[in-house]
Amino acid sequence: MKKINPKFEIQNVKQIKINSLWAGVGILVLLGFLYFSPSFTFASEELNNNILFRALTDELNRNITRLQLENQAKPYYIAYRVLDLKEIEIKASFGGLLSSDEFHSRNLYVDLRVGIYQMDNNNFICQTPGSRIIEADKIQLPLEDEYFSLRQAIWLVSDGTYKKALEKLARKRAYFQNKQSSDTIPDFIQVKPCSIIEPITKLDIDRNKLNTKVVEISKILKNYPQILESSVIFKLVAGNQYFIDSEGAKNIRQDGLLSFEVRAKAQTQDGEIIEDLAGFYGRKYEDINFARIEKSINTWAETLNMKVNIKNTEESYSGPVLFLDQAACELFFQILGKGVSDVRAPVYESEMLERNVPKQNLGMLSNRLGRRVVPNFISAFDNPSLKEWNNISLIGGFSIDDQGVRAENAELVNNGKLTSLLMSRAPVSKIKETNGHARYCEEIFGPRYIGFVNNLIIRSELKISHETLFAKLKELTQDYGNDFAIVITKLEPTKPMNEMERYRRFYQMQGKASPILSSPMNLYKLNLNTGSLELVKRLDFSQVTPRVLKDIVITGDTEYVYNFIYRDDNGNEYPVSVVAPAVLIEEMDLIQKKGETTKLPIVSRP
Amino acid sequence: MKKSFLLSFLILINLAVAREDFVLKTMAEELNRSYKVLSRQKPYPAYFLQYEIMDEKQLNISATLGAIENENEEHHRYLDVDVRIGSYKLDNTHEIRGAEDFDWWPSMIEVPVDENPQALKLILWSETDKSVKSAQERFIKVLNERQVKVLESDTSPDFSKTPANKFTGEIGTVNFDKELWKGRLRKLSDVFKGYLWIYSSEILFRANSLTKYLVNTDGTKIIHNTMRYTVRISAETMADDGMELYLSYPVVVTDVGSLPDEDELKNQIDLLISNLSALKNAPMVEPYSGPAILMNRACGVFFHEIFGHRIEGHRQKSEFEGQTFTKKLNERIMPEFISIYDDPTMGKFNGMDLNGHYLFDDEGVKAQKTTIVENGILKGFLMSRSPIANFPNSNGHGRRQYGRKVVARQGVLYVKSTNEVPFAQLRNALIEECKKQKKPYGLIFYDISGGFTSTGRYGPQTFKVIPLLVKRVYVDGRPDEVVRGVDIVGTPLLSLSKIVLTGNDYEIFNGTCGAESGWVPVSAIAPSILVSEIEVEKKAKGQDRPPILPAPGEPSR
Repeated sequence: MKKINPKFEIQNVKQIKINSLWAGVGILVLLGFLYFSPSFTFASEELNNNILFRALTDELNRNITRLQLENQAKPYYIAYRVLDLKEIEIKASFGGLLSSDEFHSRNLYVDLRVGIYQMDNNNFICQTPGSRIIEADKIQLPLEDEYFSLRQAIWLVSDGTYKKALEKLARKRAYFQNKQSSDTIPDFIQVKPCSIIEPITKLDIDRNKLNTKVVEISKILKNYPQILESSVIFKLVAGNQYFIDSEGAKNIRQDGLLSFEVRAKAQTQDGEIIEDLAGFYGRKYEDINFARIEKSINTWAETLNMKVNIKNTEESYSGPVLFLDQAACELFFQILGKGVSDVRAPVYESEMLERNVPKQNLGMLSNRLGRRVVPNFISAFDNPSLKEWNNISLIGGFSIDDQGVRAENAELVNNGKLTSLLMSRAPVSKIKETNGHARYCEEIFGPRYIGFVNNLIIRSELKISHETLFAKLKELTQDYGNDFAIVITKLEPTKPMNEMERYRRFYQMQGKASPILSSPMNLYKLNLNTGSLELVKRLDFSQVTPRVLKDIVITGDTEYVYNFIYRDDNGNEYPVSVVAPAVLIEEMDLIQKKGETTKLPIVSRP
Repeated sequence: MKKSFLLSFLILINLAVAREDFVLKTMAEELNRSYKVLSRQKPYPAYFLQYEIMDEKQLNISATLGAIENENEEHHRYLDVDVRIGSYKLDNTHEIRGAEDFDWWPSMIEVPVDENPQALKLILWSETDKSVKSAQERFIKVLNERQVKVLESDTSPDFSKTPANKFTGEIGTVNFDKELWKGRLRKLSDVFKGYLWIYSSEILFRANSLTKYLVNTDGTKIIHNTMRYTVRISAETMADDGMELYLSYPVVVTDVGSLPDEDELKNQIDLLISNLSALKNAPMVEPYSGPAILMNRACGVFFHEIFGHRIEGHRQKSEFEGQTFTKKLNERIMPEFISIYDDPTMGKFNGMDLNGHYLFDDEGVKAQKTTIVENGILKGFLMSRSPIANFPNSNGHGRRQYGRKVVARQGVLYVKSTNEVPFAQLRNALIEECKKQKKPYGLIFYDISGGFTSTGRYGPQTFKVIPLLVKRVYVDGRPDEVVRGVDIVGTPLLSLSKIVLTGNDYEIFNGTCGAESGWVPVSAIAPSILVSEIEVEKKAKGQDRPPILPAPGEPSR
């Protein structure tokens, strides 16, 4: 197979040369310098020469000192965050190239606060009509580093964001004016400014060769006649986040994400439509291994084909369930990961506004700090600085979060008890510090920063081999009195609403709440006598609550690394990694779900 | 030697033809294969099937204040499948009364941009199956609706027959000097740096090649390409009272060499800045009714909105439409010196390209020059293949954006007058009319950004046209004064009856029009007109203050 030689260059901002004779002295001086000047960086001169940073700094300094409407508060905090990203997207289907495009975007996000740390314009949702000409919160910046044009854009969006902030703060104060309970938790916490300068990323890939590769892989699905529709989407994003704020933080973060997603829609003989997704992810182009992807897709397509041909179904099931591989990871992500994310719930100005916002089961464990959420042999942490696990790249991490805070390891669960949450700079009653997990979240009524999962690692002190795990499953199932056990290897990833569903939700209040745990995609019946596994269709979870994790009996001894892109109902996308062992849950209920069926294609496949 | 050369040449030609033809050939093969089965499908056989693929290559570059702001290039192909179940007399596209019948969400189906027949066929097959099943379900609803609702006022068939058309047009390629244009955009956009009170400005260059491949079971096979190069200068600012002010200067041509040169674009920038400055400092106008002149480009948009949409064929038949002109065939609806045509076959007017030009519509019907009004008398409507009473055939106006269903749309609307005078005379006539009506002033609408019109019965059937630049003309001889803050409103029948006189200064408005079948390129050609009465209402305005701090680079206030 022809090898593609991409040029995916990383340019170092500066190279430090140390003369060996003065190394000792130099290091001492350096350490002293670092100690006394926490925001000093090796590349400060380069930062000053960086036109984008200069424009951001100059406008920030002007706004923090002079931006004020008469009789109104000045901003007490301003942050500018620029995402400068280049993207390649290639799509193919059944061996045909659908599109091959390259994009370059540069967007500025403004976090401007009025009031005080204790109470400012955030953590409050209301509708504020904006100006068409003077935007708020976000603006597209010129792609070129032309100082004046950059400053003009920064100036305007700062102005718009400030006015919006003033209005929001006033409405928030009005809301609490006659409320008995007052919100005593601060809206924002102070942090020590961080200065991390990572290299500037360039993207230089031979797209034509990539097109050929993507098309070749998409051809594989032609060989499966029951697949009605398919698409292969290759995306490579590379760039940097630039961050500066009025507290002195100044940093450049390197961003990169590679995704290779294959989607297919197949139809069973009785007309049921089955959709599936296979995803391959990495941080950079070198993480991709087309040969391995091809092999995996063949396996995945075979499984899809088997699902299409299965006739087995069960009416219901109660008993032990074994979660393997992706299913185990999704189980922990959907309940534990999401449960400790977005823990600072905003206040809504009205009930109607709250109904318009889709509920995504975030923060559901936030009131369980200090209590047991999993068995005492399980611990968990989220460490954004991890780059790989068992030689597999992790995609969920970053060095600096979206609020410019250095990302930290968060010990979430210790011996079964919930000890921490994923925090942004919005504290909760029991946790008053950030641990650098903030992600920008665009919502219907404006953006927020929420703590969210990065690299969630599940550890177990009680683990057994794969074979022993199956033996244990059989034993439990027999005790339960069942003829068969259930093994699940894949759950549906969180499916966001499409545009039409979002419209209906917002304007017509239609739409259903998403379940805490998504439906199984690959569910097997384990025959206790023969030990064989058979695919079963149409069984879905019933009445799952977060306490299901407490019913974990034992885990496997192999860790599965699962990378994916979490897509929410507002159109936000977050790369996430979860590392988890297989888990055996003592008892779960599953019921048959009604599937919609469509007649088979009228005309035979070409 | 000669023979081998000739052979090579012929092979090359055949290869070229075959390569160009590949899409159409694959579409036709799959269409015929599917139709063979679908036409025998009981109890609801298909009687018509069409595939249309729109191959769009687009490049956008924009600059602001001397820097490139956006640069992207895309190439996509989108498929539309049209199936008809039933018969020409009654089929699945029949209007269903009592249900929300409009599909707000376009379905954009991508097909390969490379030459892969199998991949293309698989997508065609899958989408055909979905479309057929959807059509069958709808047809059942149609059959039921006919039984339980009253008879419609127009019982003409649902689909007209049309001869097959075969056309293979040349496929142009986007061809221009990218770096030259980027440099030009930087330089031109830089001019705005000298005007810090302009908050946002942009110069856009766009190159667009749209190739349509169409096959249907009538035997029609068409390849039709249109090339468009656009330059648009735009600028925005705010008046002190919060009103958002916007002006733009767009140019659309079919050949990049026909775009204005740098000097001409610079002149347009200067003019735009001057007008925007005048607007920013202009007084607000209160609601007014009285004489006015709509300048040629403004007049084109005016006719497009108040009249053009109301003579689209499907609106004459729909029980939900106001049907303003449906029963007025052969009646006078406007002054006898006005005639109106819609002629998509016109590629140019006075040497300028027309954005609304096309040769074949999206049902494979040849575009035709259509007389709508002749000497003030209504003579016809814009027709797709959906017949209406007295108009059983299409005149090639069935149009759509990809992802939408076809309906009759305008193309190149041409307003012609036989009562033309030079503009100076028209202006004098305005003043005379004001004096007659004892009005202290009249209005001249120089430019219009667009507008919208409501044609349905469930709301007021009015129009609103949004002027960009308006001047007050005083009868007492004071200089003309730029004013702001009003939109033109009215009802069609009354407004058309107020046309008094026209100028001889025909000009083109090139734009895009959005309606049920999406956004389509259109043109309107018109002279300036004098109306004895027009009504303007207050424009909605922003309530935000202008920026608190001065623009960077501006001296402190």
